[in-house]
Formats: sequence, C-alpha cells, structure tokens
Amino acid sequence: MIVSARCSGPPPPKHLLRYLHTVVAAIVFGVAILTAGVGFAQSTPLTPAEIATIENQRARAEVAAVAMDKKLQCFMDQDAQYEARSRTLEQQTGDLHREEQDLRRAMETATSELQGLDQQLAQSQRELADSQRQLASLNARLKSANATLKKCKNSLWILGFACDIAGEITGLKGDIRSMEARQRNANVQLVSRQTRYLAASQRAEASRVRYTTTQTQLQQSQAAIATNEAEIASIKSALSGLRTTRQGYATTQSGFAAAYDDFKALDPNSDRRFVIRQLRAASQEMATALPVAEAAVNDGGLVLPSGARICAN
Amino acid sequence: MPDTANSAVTNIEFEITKRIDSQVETIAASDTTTLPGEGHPLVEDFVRKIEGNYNVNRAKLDTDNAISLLYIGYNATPQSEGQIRVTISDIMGRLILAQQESELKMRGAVADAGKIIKSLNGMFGEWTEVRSEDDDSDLKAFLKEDMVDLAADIGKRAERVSTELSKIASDYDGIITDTDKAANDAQTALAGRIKDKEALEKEISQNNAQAAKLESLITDLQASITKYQDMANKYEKRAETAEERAFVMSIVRVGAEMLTAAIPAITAGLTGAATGGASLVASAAISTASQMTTREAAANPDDKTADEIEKKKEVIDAKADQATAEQKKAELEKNAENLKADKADVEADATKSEEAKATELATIQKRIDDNEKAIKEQETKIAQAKIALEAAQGALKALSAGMKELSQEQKDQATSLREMQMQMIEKVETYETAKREQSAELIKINALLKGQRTEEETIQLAIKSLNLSLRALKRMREIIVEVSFFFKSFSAFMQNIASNCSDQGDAIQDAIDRDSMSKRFKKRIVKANSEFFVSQAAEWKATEIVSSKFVDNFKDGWSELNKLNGNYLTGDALNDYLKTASDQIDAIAADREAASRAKIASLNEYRARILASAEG
Repeated sequence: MIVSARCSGPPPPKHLLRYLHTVVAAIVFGVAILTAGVGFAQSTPLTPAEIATIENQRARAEVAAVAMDKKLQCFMDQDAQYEARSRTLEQQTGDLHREEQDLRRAMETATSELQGLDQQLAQSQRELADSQRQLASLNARLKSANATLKKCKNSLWILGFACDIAGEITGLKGDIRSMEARQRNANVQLVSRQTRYLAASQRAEASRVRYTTTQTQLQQSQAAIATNEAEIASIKSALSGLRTTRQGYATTQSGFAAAYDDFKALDPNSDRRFVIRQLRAASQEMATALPVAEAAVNDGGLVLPSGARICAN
Repeated sequence: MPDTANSAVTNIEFEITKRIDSQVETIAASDTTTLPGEGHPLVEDFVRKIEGNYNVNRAKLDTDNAISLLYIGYNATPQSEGQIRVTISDIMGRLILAQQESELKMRGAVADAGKIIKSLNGMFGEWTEVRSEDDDSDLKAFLKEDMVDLAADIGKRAERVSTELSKIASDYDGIITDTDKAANDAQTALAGRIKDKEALEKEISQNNAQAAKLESLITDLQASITKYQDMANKYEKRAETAEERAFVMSIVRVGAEMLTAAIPAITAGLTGAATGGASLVASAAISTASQMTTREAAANPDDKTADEIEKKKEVIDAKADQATAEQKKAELEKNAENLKADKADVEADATKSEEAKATELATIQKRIDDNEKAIKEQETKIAQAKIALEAAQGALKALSAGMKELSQEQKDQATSLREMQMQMIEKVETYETAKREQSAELIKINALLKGQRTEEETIQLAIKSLNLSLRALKRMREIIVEVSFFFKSFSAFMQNIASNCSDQGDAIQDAIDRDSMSKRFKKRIVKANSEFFVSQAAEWKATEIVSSKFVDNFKDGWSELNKLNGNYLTGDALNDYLKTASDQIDAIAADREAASRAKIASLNEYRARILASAEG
C-alpha cells in the first residue's frame, strides 16, 4: 500500500522555529532516528519539529561548511607557500651544487698546481744552495792555489817564472785554470738559478693565492649548500606533516560537504515521498556529521616542527 | 600492451556483456526479493567490466611502484640539476595532491554507491509487490512518486561520479605531461652532459698532447745522452793504455758535468740498469774531478792531459808564426837586392842630368831603408816565435814526460766527441729554454688534467644518475598512463549508468503520461524496471567494491609518497640510496612484465570459465 506524502499545512514562521530549536532539538533527534528506521511504505510527511531540526541543521551546516572551506584553503595556501619556498631553495641549491662542483674541480687543480710549484720552488732552492756551496768551495780552493803560487814567486823574485814552470809540471796551474773555468760556470749557473728561484717563488705565491681564494669560495659554497639543504629538509618535513593533517581534515570536510550538498538540495516542504525519505536520512547523517565538522573547525590547527601554529581557525 | 592481450580483452568484454545481459534478465524475471550483493556473479562480472584490462588487485602495487620510481627519479637526478629536481618535486607534490583528491573522490563514490544501494534495496521490496498487483494505479503511483526520482537521483550521482573520475584521469594526464617534461629535461641535460664529456675529453687529449710534447724533449735528450755514453764507452774500451783512457775521460767529464748541472734528473736516471752496463757518463756526472783523477789515472791527472793537448796546439801555432815570419823576411831580402840593383843602374846612367839622378836615387834609397826596416821587424817576429816555440816545446816536453804524439784515431775520437758535445749543448740549451718556459706550464697542465679527471668523474656520475632518473620516470609514466586510462573507462562506465537512468526516466514518464496501459506495455515496463533495479544494484555494488579498493590504494599511496617526500636525502644517505635504486627499477620492471603475462593468462582462464558455464 502506497501512502501519499504531502505536507499538512504551511511551514511555521522562521523566528518561532529558532526559538523552539533548543527545546525540541532532543525530541526531534529521537524522532528522526525513529522515522529513519521506518520502511518505505510508512513515508509520512515531515512534522514541523522535523522541519525545524532540518532548518537548524542547515544553518549550522552552512556555518561549518564555510569555516571548513576556509580552513582547507588555509592548509592549501600554507602548502603552496612552503612548496614555493622549497622550489626556490632547491633551484638555488642546484646552482650552488653546480658552482661547488666547479670549485671542487678548481680546488683539485689549485692543490695539484701548488704542490707542483712548491716542489719546483724547493728544487730551485736546493739548486741555488748547491751552486752557492760549490762556488764558495771553488773560491776557497782557487784562493789557496793562487796563494801557493804567489808565495813561490815572492820567494824567488826575479826567477818567478820558474814557479810557473814548476806549477805546470806539478799540475797546480792546470788545477787553477780548471777551477777558474768552473768558477765562471758556477757564477753563470748561480745567476741562472737565482733567477729561476725568484720566478718559482712568484709562481708558487700566485698559486697559493689562487688556492686560498678557491678554498674560501668552496667553503662558502659548501656552507650555503648545507644551510639550504637543512632548510629544504625542514620544509619538506613540515610539508609532509601539513599534508597528512590536511588530508584528515579534507576527508571530514568533503564527506560533510557532500552530505550538506545532498541535504540542502532537498526541499523540506516537498511532498514527494522520495524526497521526504532522503531528507530524513540526510538529517540523520547530519546529526552525526555536524559535531565532527564543528570539532574539526575548532581543532586548533597544526603545530609545525618549527613550533609555529598554522590554520588555527 | 601486446596485440594478443588486447584481443583477449576484447573477447572477454564481449563474453562478459553477454553474460551480464543474460543474468540481469534471469534475475529480473525471478521472484527474488533481494538484489545482487557482494560475491554475486553478476556483481563480479560488473567488477570485471569496470576493470577492463586493468588489474585492480595490482593497483596498489603499481601505485607503490610509481611512487618508488618517482622518488628514485628525484634522487637520481644530480643535485646540480636544480630545475629538473624542482620539476620532479612538483610532480611529487602534484601526485600527492592528486592521490589525496582521488581518495576523497573515491570515498565520495563509495558514499554515493552506498546511498544508491540502500535506496534500491529499500525500494525493491515495494517494487516486487507493486509489479505483481493487477491494479495499475499503484504501479503508476510507484513510478511517479518513487521511480522517477530514484532514476533521476541515480543519474545525477552517476554523472557526478563520472565527472569526478574524469577529473582524476585529467589530473593524472597532467602528471603524465609533467613527467614527460621532466623526462625531456633529463634527456636534454643528459645530452648536455655527454657533450660536456666529449668537449672535456678533447681538452684532456689536447693537454695530454702538450704534456707529451714536453716529455718528448726529455726523451730526445735522454736518447742523445745514451748515444753519447755508448760512444764514450766504446772509445774507452778501445783505449789500451791508462793514458788513452784518461784522454777519453777528460772529454767525457766535460759533457757529464754540463749535463749534471743542467738536467740532474736525467743523468741520475742513466744507471747501469738503464743502459745495460756501467754508465760512463753517469759515473762521470756523479764524480768530482779529483775523485775521477784518483780513480782513473793517478799518475796522469786529467787536467794535465788536457793541458798537454793545449800545449801541443801552442807549439803548432808558434811554428806556424815562425814559418810565416821567415817567409816574409825572405821576400823582403829579395826585394832589397832588387833595390840595390836599381840604385846601381841609376848611378851608371850618363844620359840623365845630375839633378834628376839625385832625385831618383833619393827615392830608391828611401825604399831600401823601408825594406830594411821591414826585414828587421820580421827578424824580431821570428825571434819571438822562436822563443815562444822553444817555451812551448819546453813546456810540452816537461808536461808530456814521454807522452806519445796523438794518434790519428785519437784525434778522430776527440773530434767526434767534441761534435757530440756541441750537439748536446745545443739540445740542453733548447731543453733548458723550453723547460724554463714550460715547466710551470706543465705543472698547470697536469693540475688541470687532475681537475678535468675529477670533472669527468662528476659528469660520468651525472650521466649515470640521469639515465637512472630517466628510466624511473619512464616506468612511472607507464603506470600513471594505465591509471589514467582506467579512470577514463571507469568514468565512461558511470556515464553509461547515467545514460541508462535517463532512458529509464523517459520510459517511466511515458508510462506515467498514459491514461491506461496495455498488458503488453505493462509487462514491458515491469521488465525494464525490474532489470533496472537488478542492473543498478549490481553496477553500484561493483562501483562500491572497486572504489573501496582505490580508497585504500590512494590513501596508502599518498601516505607513502608524502613520507618519502618529507625525507630529503643528502650526502651519504643519498649515495647509499642510489646504490639500491638501479636494482629497484629492474625489480619493478620484471615484476610488471610478469604481472602483464599473468593478467593475460587470467583473462584467458576467466574466458574459458565463462564459456564452460555457458555450455553447461
């Protein structure tokens, strides 16, 4: 047997409905539950109390829906801000990594060059010292040989030439000539080595400046990377927490929004059976969903790892 | 997907549709008061129909794989490729959001399905009563009051779910586009790195050539020294007496000392081992003059030998000077006799005047005087040369102390060695010049090469990483394409429901608008409505089942990706992760390949089962 479902009269004025809200809310809720369990054949028209409850639920639902949308938008905005900051930092970090690679390569080059030039400098220094020692030794020997010859000539005076002949015979003159030749060579070598040592010093010094500059730049670059990466890690961690919280919230919000959409699309004044049944079911659903939605709106938002609280309302 | 798989899917779809139609008809015609629920074959068939060639049971694994691949793609992208990392990071953010929204939409679909199933179940009992009644008014009232609204509500919800599913597919299409962009960027970066590598290899090659050029100078010099040493050794062996050996050594030592001063590293390298025997040059190079004197010829010092050679040259020079002066003196004496004869002829000439004779004789006398003066000068030179010669010969005699005259062979040897010394001096000079100019350059080149090798390693690592990233992104894309395609077909399925609802609504309205219904029309409308209840219940149950699976899949998916994305890897943690990444991609690829084969096998098996039940 199908019962025609129609409203028995016009709806009561809205200010009266609001006044009655608190009084009848508990009764209405009970009625709603009872009627929801009734079969399709018993789709009686909505009572004024049911309609009042539905109106009240709609008003509350609208406030909650707006607040939830706002809060969800807040989470989305925060997400976008963190994402944008992370994007900038990652881009910067990429550039820094590239720079760091160049600097590391330059550092390898500078280190190797400095080592090589330092070795060259040390070698030049050794060579110079050798030359100086060799020359000093030659000078001493030459001085001694010449002194011997001079002493001989002084003692023979007019027959001094005999000393030269004797010098030739004993090889002393030959030694002197050989030493004089070597002295000339050693002097040339000394000058040459001094020049080379000076050039090597200048090259090594320039290389040391390049090394120090590169090292400083590299350290700065590495420090900047470390700072950026720490911030990226912090942002990504915050984003992860934010997205988890947001989804929990969005799940409540979307379920509520769908229920609210269904709910508000139904006309409480309709006399159609299908609509009445749907309204009762939707009202029942709202009775559960509304406190959950309102609690979500007022949950105090999210505290990030940095301690900052976002989307409190 | 292979053609065989596509053809299997087409066949199976046809079989399923046939079986669905048959089952709906049978159930609708029966007296049952319950609609098909979970586990019913009709529901199972609709689940299969929604699935198509997509394996819903593998969706979670595929989603997990896509997430792993995306995370690999992100981490494998070198940190220096900031823009590509940002693009992949955006994809991750977008995928998290897409999966979160997909989860919500799937929850919405489940909720809609639940509400519809509840409505259908609630109204089906009433319908079974109404359709059996003879009175058309109750039927009409039911159609007018309930069915038309139910059909509209289902249609509206189906439209909504279809739209949401299309949005999901569209979101994934966007992710596919972004993935393509990231893959293209990675490909471009890869090509750039390969180009960098080629350019670097060219630079390295040029620097190596430059270094080799410098090295060749040293090698060339070493070869000359070796040749010189061989020759010196040969001459030394030929020298029979200590005196002859001393002569060779006196020449060798000059060259050795020069080499030692110029290129100690080279001469130090000329050891016995290097030259296949005792090294005369190396020995001379590392010995002092007195050491050599003591060791080689204590009785005949080398310097003395050299001086002897010098004195012999002085003797030759003095002899030459004396001979020249004597020759000039002889010419002058002959000239003096001629002048005397000229003077006598003038004095005897009677034809000339006394005055003319006196003038001419005075001129001749002056020439005689000048000639006498020149003769005396030559006599002085001769006397000096004689003294020098005597002195040189005396000194030589004293110095040589019985030394024999140099043999022609020794003279030739000395000439050869001196020529070689000159060549070596030239080479040493060339080397020294080049060395001074380029030794610092060589250090720089070698340092540059070291830096370039580091860069080459970095580039090679970047190429390897980018290849890995590219592979991961391409595999991930394949999965997302499948997900997107599935949701498109799911959306089409829901659109079909909406369309059926619209048709049903029209049919109901037609029935409502009729004043009276013929029996045949009533039968037809009852059949259509009953079938609507059955098919809608089964379809929405199937939708609920599939959507529920995706709620979990998406929830797990975004949770996992969100967790991974929150864990930003750097340094050693990143390197450790990348070591396992390649194997992970291979494992995923192999698993998907196996799953694809299993799916075809499953479809064929299902088809065989359907055919068997149809025949039975």
